[in-house]
Amino acid sequence: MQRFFVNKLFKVVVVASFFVLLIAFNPYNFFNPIRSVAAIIFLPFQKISYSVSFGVANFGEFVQSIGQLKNENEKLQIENQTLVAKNAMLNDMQSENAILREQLKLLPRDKYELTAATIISQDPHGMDNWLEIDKGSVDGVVNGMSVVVSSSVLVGRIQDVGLQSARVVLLTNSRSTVNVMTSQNNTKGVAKGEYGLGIIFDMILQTDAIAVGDEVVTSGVGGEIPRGLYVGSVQEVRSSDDGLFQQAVISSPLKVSKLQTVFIIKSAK
Amino acid sequence: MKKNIIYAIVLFFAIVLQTSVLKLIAPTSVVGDIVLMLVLAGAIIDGFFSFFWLAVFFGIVYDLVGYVQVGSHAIVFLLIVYFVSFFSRRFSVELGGVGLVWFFFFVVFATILSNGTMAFLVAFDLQNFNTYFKEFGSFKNIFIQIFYNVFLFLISFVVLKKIKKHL
Repeated sequence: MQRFFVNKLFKVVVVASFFVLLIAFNPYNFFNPIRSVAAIIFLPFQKISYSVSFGVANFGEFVQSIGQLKNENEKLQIENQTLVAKNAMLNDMQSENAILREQLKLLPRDKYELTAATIISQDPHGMDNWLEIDKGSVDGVVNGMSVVVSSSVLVGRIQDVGLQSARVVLLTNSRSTVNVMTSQNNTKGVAKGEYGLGIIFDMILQTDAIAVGDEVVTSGVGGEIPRGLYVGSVQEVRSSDDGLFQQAVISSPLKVSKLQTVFIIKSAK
Repeated sequence: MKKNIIYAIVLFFAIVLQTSVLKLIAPTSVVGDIVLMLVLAGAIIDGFFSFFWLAVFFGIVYDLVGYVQVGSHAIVFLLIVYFVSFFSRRFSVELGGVGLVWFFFFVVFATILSNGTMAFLVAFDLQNFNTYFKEFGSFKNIFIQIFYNVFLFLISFVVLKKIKKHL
């Protein structure tokens, strides 16, 4: 009997049962202070190794891309000409928009107070579910803040804020839902993460118009995420499993593993 | 004691590598799990009793740093340590000959157990078990992950063996 209590199986069953109970009751907030301490210990090492490996990965990519530089350069020149023309048109529309806003007494669009943050780690299972940044509660970061790159491309939202670090839940995370719309015809719906693999634009009414190539931006519904942040473009449109709604696959312009710096929207000015 | 401290340092840096390096340098979106493979190698080399608590402790640390429910990796690691000790007591598990087949078998088991547990926890959290297989990953992804893990396991095994030899 005494032998049984010291044997391997008993030890495994007791410890495993303890952890199963811990997971079942999931006292997530209970571990937050310990998580915060662990994050502080790991932070300097992760920061150095992330930036070093980012440099190594970039250099490797650069060496690989030397052969394609000529073709890419030609392609970029053509794209540049198109964008210059588009930019001129948008500038014209912007001034027209400002005049109309003034005439209709509309408030100006939001400008954001941004804080730069460096990425220090990512989802260890490589599922593009989250990334960790080196800004935390001491920098004024709170849960729910939006995280962007290039001033308006949405990366995700802040969740789990530690003292000096915070976790950004990406749009591809299956727990992520964001209210979105198409910028072309204001078709509204919800962008949901697809198991770390992509983003699905869901809950689109059958009567609403949506087409491949439409640009998807945040709708601002709910107030947590500002309106107009770019999410991606529609790649494919299909009917939902129950046939009640339309769904669209969103192609994101972001490659999360290529990001080093992101910006937190702290407030709208 | 000295050995445990060195193992702890190795596992600490493995967690740093896993969370901040592997994803960046991996040629595909799927990455291996160096912490899991170190635990597997440690269990083979050191056996159940000397590696059990270290595996459980670093399982908890990995859970804390990896933002998953505390206990998830700890359960996976302790099951791996038990599973390995169960087989290595009965069969010869060495780097060479039939032992290599056992190594491969352990890597496949550890990869599937880890993915299965993590997918179960997400499905449990979302209260939607239809999502289980999607979270688990496609066969192609699992195959690539096993391939990476075999590579990481061999490195881990050689490193830990060398450490043990020098102590």
